[in-house]
Amino acid sequence: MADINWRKLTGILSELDQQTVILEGFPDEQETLSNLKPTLENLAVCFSELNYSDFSLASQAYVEQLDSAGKRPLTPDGANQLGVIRQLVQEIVRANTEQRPPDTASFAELTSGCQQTMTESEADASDSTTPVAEPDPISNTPSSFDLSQDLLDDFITEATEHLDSVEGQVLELEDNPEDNEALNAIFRAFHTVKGTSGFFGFDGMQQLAHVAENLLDLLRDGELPFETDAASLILQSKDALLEMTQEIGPESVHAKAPQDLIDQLEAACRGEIGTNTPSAKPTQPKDESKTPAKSKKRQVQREVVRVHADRLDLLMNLIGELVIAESIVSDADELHLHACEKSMHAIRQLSSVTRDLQALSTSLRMVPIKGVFQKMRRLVRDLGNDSGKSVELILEGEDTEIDKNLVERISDPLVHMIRNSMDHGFEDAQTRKAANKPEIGKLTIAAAQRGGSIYISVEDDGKGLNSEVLRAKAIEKGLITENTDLTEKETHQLIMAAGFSTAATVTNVSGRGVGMDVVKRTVEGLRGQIDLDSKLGRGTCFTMRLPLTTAIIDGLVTRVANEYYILPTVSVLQSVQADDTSLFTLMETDEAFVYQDQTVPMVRLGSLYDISNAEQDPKKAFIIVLEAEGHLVGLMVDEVLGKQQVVIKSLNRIVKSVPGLAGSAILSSGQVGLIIDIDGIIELANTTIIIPPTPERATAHV
Amino acid sequence: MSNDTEINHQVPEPGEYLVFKIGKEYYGTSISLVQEILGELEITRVPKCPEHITGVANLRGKVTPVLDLRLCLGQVATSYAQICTVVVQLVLHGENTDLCMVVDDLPFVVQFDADNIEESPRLKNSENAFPLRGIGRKDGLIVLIFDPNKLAQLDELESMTECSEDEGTASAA
Repeated sequence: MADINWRKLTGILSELDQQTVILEGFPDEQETLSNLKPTLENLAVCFSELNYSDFSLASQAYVEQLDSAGKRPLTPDGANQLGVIRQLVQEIVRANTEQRPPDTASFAELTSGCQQTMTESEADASDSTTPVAEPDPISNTPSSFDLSQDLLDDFITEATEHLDSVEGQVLELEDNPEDNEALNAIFRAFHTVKGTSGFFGFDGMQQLAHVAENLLDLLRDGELPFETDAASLILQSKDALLEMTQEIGPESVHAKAPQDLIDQLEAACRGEIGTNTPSAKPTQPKDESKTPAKSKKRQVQREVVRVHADRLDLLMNLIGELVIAESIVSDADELHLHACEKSMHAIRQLSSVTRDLQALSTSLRMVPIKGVFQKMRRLVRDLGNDSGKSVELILEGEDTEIDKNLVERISDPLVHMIRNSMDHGFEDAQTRKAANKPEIGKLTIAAAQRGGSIYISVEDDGKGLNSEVLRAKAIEKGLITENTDLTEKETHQLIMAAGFSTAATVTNVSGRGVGMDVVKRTVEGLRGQIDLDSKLGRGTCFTMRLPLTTAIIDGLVTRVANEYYILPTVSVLQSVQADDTSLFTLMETDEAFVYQDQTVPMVRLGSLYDISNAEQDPKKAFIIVLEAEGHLVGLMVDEVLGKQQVVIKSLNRIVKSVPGLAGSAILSSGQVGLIIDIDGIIELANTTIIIPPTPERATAHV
Repeated sequence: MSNDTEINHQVPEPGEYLVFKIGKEYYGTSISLVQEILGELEITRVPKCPEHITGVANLRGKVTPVLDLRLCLGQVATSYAQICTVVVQLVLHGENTDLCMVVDDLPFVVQFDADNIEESPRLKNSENAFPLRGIGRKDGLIVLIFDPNKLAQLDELESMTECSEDEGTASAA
């Protein structure tokens, strides 16, 4: 090391020695604090001359933080860091004396760790019981963010959980204001969020949580009555906090809670409740005894383990592959020929366990729909309050399980449908009374599994759809003309056409002609369908039908020429062989056959998909009778190979979606089979072959 | 016209390229995209697909699409010297996807330096879909360099169906 650098460095070291000692005892010693700066600046220069650019930057950063901290005392962390810097300098000096390379590796943390501390000094300094104190914006400071991302992720997850639980508890409390346990739980949730957000320096959040906690404290001590307004305030606080949690980023340290909310909370604490409610609020008679489907809120807490979604997906994929590998092994010819009894027994055991694993795996993907439904409670409550309409929400089939991927995606359509009912369906109390209907409207959301689909319905006993009004509106919007002839059902369907709206006034989301057509598209995007049934004056019911999309399906493997096609067994009724008398043609282009006294149209898969070498003689082929939408259809294939469970693999990468195909799968032989989408096949057949509307016998044709 | 801007304004980078023969010409792609090279795979035909998508294959449990590059280029499918499959990994819609490309004969690696690579000349049919990125020349070998990602994207836009109907005017001479 050059002599000059050596002298500089030793000089700096002795200064640092002195300064750190002073600041240890007196962290607010102003003179020392201001002397630190030039010392460190010199150090930075020294470092860069010695080619320690990282350390040079670190020193400069520290200086910047000192600048921003202004006159505030040195935090323990700041002191630590200073100590580390001092040790670094000491090490370099020593190494030089001992003529060895300095051990700088152990100081690597210096370059990353040096950003945190100054902001914490504010968090410490601000007294948490004075809610109005605003943190100074620190422009330069990278936030407390280099706290490992893991810690932060955990915070977000936990805070979200706590806050989510609040909503359910508040709603429960509204029904049972005496429920102290719920009240305590809410208090604890806010308390925890207050604490942890404070730790991270998220002052805005902490402040909000704190004021809410104050309110809750008064409530649980019985000093304030628990009423709708208090509940609403708490829910709003929860919303605000949740939003702040989800937007956590480097700016969060400066994020402020909405001031008006804080004001209202404080007012509430003083007993001045009632500043926030809409004036026309009907008292909701607590007819909660009439909600049968409300499962016991205080359900037994089954032990729950949190698992990373990625791991779960990986697990399921692996189980899927295991199933296939196992079936390849089990089917192997040599096994059956040569294996001894013991091995066969082991193989059977393997098969059995694999099947169980598979069932388990399928069930892992399924979650009860209850979570989604519960969210709707809040929505109905809020909408009810806003519109002044009294609505009772009935939830049925909450335990129905759906694929976890579906859960997110049906939330929006459900919300739209509920808004629709609340805004346009339900009449206000007087109208209802005049119509001899119970004043409180009834909204039923039900879920059920039938066949291979899940049905979710939203039904209201409101005023129903008025065909004439709809028709007039559609004509006005140019969707149909005067002459268009529509059945009542078709007229009702207009409500789901894009750009349609009959609301006199535009409310929040509904009424802008956006809701229902988006719902329709979303549902169709999930490969489902939506139907509606409405009676003027009595109410409307929307029903969504969604496929139970599991990754593994039961399939019937069939062959046409040397191609393999898999038919979901859920749609397969039977496989038959045609003979002379049952098969005939219609109008010379279409084919049909007789099945159980019905005439069923027949489609040749080979023709549909241009498969060369497909069996042409129906008598030598097989016809699979399929059911779709209540109609029967026969699909002709060369051979039926048997049932197999397969893992669905999407085709939609470079191979664009082919009409009639739902995906592909790897058969036990290792070959790829294509999975047929029954509805798609029928549609494809319809566009190429006409399916006769009325079953009539034509003359038999060979 | 828009194809021009897309294709030609970035000369391929120097480095190693995997070169394979298609008909009488040599095509190449950056080796960083190549996952593996296999022999002939069993291909399952997928109906209602453009001709150059010969189907899908089972690649260690993954159903992977297979592209026949000669058909992509509009060449007539005569017999192959030795069918090989080059598996490349693409990024489509932000996801990693594999693609199998069927080529004539065994591929080999060529190192191109900056002096050996240049922009591809303007093609007569600039609407033509095949996305040529440049030309590499070394020791008498002329390699037409392309990016499989672009190939796959074009596919999605269905412009490749025109490609397989063009006869021979597709590639630059």
